[in-house]
Amino acid sequence: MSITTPPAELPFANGTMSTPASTAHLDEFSYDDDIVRKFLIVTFVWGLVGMLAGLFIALQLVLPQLNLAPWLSFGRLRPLHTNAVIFAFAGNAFFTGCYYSLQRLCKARMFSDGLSRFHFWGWQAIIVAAAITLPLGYTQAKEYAELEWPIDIAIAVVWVAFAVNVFGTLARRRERHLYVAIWFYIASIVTVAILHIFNNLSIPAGAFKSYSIYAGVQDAFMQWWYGHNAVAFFLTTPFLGLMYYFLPKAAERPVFSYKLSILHFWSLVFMYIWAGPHHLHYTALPEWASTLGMLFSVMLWMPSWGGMINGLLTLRGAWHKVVDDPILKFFVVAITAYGMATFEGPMLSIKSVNALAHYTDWVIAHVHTGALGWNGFMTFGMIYWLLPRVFQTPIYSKRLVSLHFWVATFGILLYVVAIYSAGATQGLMWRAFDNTGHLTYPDFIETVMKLMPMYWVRVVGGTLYIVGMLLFGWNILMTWRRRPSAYDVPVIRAAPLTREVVDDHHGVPVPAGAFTRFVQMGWHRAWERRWAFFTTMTLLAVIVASLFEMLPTFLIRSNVPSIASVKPYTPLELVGRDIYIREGCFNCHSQMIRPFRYETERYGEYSKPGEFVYDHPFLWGSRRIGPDLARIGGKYPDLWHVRHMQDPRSITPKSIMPAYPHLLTDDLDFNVIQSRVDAMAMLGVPYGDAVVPGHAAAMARQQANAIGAGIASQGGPTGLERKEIIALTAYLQRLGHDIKGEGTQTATTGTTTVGGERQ
Amino acid sequence: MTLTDIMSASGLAWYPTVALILFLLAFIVLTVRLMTLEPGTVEHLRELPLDSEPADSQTTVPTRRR
Repeated sequence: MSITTPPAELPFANGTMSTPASTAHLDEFSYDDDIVRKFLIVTFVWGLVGMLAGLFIALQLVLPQLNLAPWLSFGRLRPLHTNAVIFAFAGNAFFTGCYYSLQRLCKARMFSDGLSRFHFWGWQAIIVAAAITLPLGYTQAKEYAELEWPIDIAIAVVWVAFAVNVFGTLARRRERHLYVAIWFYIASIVTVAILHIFNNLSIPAGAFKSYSIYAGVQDAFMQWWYGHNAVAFFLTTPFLGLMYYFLPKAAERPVFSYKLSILHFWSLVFMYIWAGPHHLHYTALPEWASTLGMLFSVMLWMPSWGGMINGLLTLRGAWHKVVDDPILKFFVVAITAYGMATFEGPMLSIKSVNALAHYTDWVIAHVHTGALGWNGFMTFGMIYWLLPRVFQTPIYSKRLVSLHFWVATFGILLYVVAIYSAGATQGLMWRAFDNTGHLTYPDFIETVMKLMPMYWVRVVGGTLYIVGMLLFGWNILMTWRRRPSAYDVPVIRAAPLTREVVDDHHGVPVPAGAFTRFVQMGWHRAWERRWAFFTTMTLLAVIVASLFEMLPTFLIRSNVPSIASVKPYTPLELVGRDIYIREGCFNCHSQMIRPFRYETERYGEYSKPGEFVYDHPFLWGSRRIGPDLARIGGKYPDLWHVRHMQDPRSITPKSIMPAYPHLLTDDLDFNVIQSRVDAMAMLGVPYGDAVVPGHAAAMARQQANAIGAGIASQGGPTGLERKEIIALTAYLQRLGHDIKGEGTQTATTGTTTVGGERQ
Repeated sequence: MTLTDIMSASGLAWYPTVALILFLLAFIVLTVRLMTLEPGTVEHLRELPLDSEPADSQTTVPTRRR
């Protein structure tokens, strides 16, 4: 067996002058590229699945008849699309690059092959579980955190296994310094763990049903602390780490400025965590939190562009290579898209811009600039670079790589131009007043119809991107088929790290003076070498920022003034709310009226924090494909809701809402009501007598009978009182009811006054 | 007296201020740290990815089958 030697300029490959003891022994080891190959292949497979789901739901918005079955409806498939592209495609891409680069940057094999396999198979099992449960309607109703509690626990276990494997590798490394890519990996691993655990704290109310322990404003705050930082620490920092490793490799030149990488790493880690509240401008969130989130978001522009500039300038002097090398082209567009998205993000966080853009397709375009451009193209560039190395054969077709690049780039452009236009159109139409002071477009459907041509262009753009994916897959397949009958496994030789560290200034004179003394303390270099300490500092930055933002929201009463008339949902309304969640209605309808005249004119009184104190989870939504529903209660008779859910186009001919006829035929499961009321009671919701075994179901039946009779008396179908539509109708009619000051009954009054509260 | 009572009585104005001061302090520490980096170390760190995989790889005999 021959030996692969470390490069001559690093005699002991650890970045320091080694002690004589270290020269006496060189470790021999090999890298585990099998795990890299595994993750690489599933990155493509899940990427294709997630993008096809995206294309399908894009088609559903122009052809609503494609909502073929309950499990194929837009509300259930949209979270499948987002979860698949984020956690399956981007997640597996990160793992691919991380396993490849970490071993080489640490000059060590992964800590445990067993943990690597456990991570791989565990993560794929979670993805399969998501692909099954989301279409079945099992969801927590939190964006990018929809998966129910048993899967959440599995995610935590697998993530911990990944973390142990990474930190174990760091502990065994043979390179003294931690390269900046590893910093980004560490920040991603520890922060995602914190975000996942705290946002998903919930009380189970069944095998696949739970309620968030947070309610209303606090739940919204927690969710967007998670949601924004999931983008930051799952889609940004891991990919910056990949950029810092794979871009220099592909360009064959070192990163432009290492100092800039340090500066923008710590700035990103410190600032990102504060920015979440910009997702909640003009909502019932306290104003101070919203402004603080905006300030830090604007400041985020600088460190974000630090990364972009560092990436692009790494190609300084190598731009001629970009002309011929499609891999570098992918990286250039990826970094440019990152720059565009991270300029636009701070801009969208400015309140006046946000007022126009929030709830519109503008945000969807922003997200896809990042996802398709930054994450997608970084992944493609990285995998094309990896293919010949991990499959040990030349790439099948460089021309196909180039074709993929141009087709996908054109697809992105079509997609984002169309959807930016759609977003601006929506925002402007919603706020337009005529000369008489009335809304120019009082019917929401008018604004929807205006978007159809743009939605069709999105379909074309998305199709092109997927055509690119198919070319990508074909190239992977054909390269894989040409692999050798057995892979060579190079044996690497490197000296182990010694406990004794001797600072080496690499032959460069150190300037005299105070700075020299400071330098000689060596504290800063020690940070990088002690991975545990470095990790602790990263954790500290994240936790301190999080606590400073959250504690006031959670602990200061004035942030959520209570409203005496706001009462808990009745048991029937609660289970109706669960149906609303199951069908994913929150994906298209907000329940948050902002304090703007054009919103109050259209929807009614603006929303107050105290309205949501019993909302586990909050359902404010983040976009309006359909109108806001915060004040829908009492606006239409019960029969209208029944007809509308059965066939939306019978009420509004141009509606793009899916039909839910199964709600009129599926029996309502009264047996689950008690456990759900009990779970809510455990969270502090005052349910009074309803927690007595059997009472909740009895109360629900009583209210259902009243509503069913009412529908029949309005000329509607009979026998609906045991069907799911009754519970959903009860919930929809309750929305905004308490704040209107009408007489109301609550579950706390026991079984005697349930139902009929709207008469 | 609970933590909620204390927090509720203490007002809100200083939270954003403290947040920004915290960031400023962290940024100053970071800047000092960058100014004190030796050029040699920086160069070494920049080169790490390029050095991480020996270019003159002398391949071993196949030791692992697919």
